[in-house]
Amino acid sequence: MLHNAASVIRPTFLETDDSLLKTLEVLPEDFQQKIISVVGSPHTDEQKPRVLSRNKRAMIEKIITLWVKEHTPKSYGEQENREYA
Amino acid sequence: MESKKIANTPNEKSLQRLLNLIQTIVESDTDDLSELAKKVRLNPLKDFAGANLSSVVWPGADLSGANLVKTNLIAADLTEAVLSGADLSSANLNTAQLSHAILISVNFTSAKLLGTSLKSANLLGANLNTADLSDADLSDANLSNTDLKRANLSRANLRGANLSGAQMHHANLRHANLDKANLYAANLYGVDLSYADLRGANLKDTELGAAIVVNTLFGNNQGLSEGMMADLKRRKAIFKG
Repeated sequence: MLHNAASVIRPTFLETDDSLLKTLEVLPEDFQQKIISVVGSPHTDEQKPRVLSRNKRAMIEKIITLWVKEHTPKSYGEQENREYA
Repeated sequence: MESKKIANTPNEKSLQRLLNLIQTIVESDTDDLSELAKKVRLNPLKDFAGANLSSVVWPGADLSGANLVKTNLIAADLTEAVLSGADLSSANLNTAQLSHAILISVNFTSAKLLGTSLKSANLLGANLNTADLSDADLSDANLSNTDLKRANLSRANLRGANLSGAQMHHANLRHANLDKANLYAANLYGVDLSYADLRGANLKDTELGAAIVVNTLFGNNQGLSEGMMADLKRRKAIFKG
């Protein structure tokens, strides 16, 4: 994905968390932006980035994964458990 | 790479619910994973199977009986955690910290535990069949009655570990440190022990048939008869001290 919101507006906490970024990429772009506006803001030199702990990032990723699963046909959602094998 | 979009377009209400949950986590005062899970009504015992929990900090976690099949726990801190009866089959725990953890009867079948710290952990009766424990620190761990068949324990530190009654046939113990380990009644049939250090190990009633002992260090072993020592020497084992 070259032009989705998650890759264009990359909050600092996502830059080092490709798995969460990947999780967001399955969402519609406007939804990605709304989520990003909650979990972090774009990083600039002047702006101090929000720093989320690894525990919170893991929990957010889990919440999004479950939510995506709810809104996805079962054949795709079932792949979640294979992701980290 | 083209990403796969969700097929069912969620409504605004559903999205708002998701955003509220995320906000709850972001603004939470606690960083404890059990507390965070509670805030968003997740059950760590059943909802984290297959999740990405790499590098999480969760010492002392109570995860007895949890379903953590295929969970990514790479570099996670689970020091002194209680996971008895949990299912961690095919989970990835490479370089995780599990020292002093209670892991009684845990299912670690085909789990990845490369370089994992399990120092002084209690793994009584755990199933580690085909698990990869290479370079793991299992010093002073209780591995009594474990299933270690075909497990990879190459270069693992098993110094002072209790392996009594363990089923280890065809495991890989190359270069492993078994100094002062208790192998009473353990089954090491067909095990590769080449270059391993077994000095001071208790070998009473230990099955060593068909084990590869090329350059394996023995010495001060309880339970080795003169005849067995001669046989091991013939199989290129080295006796010191």
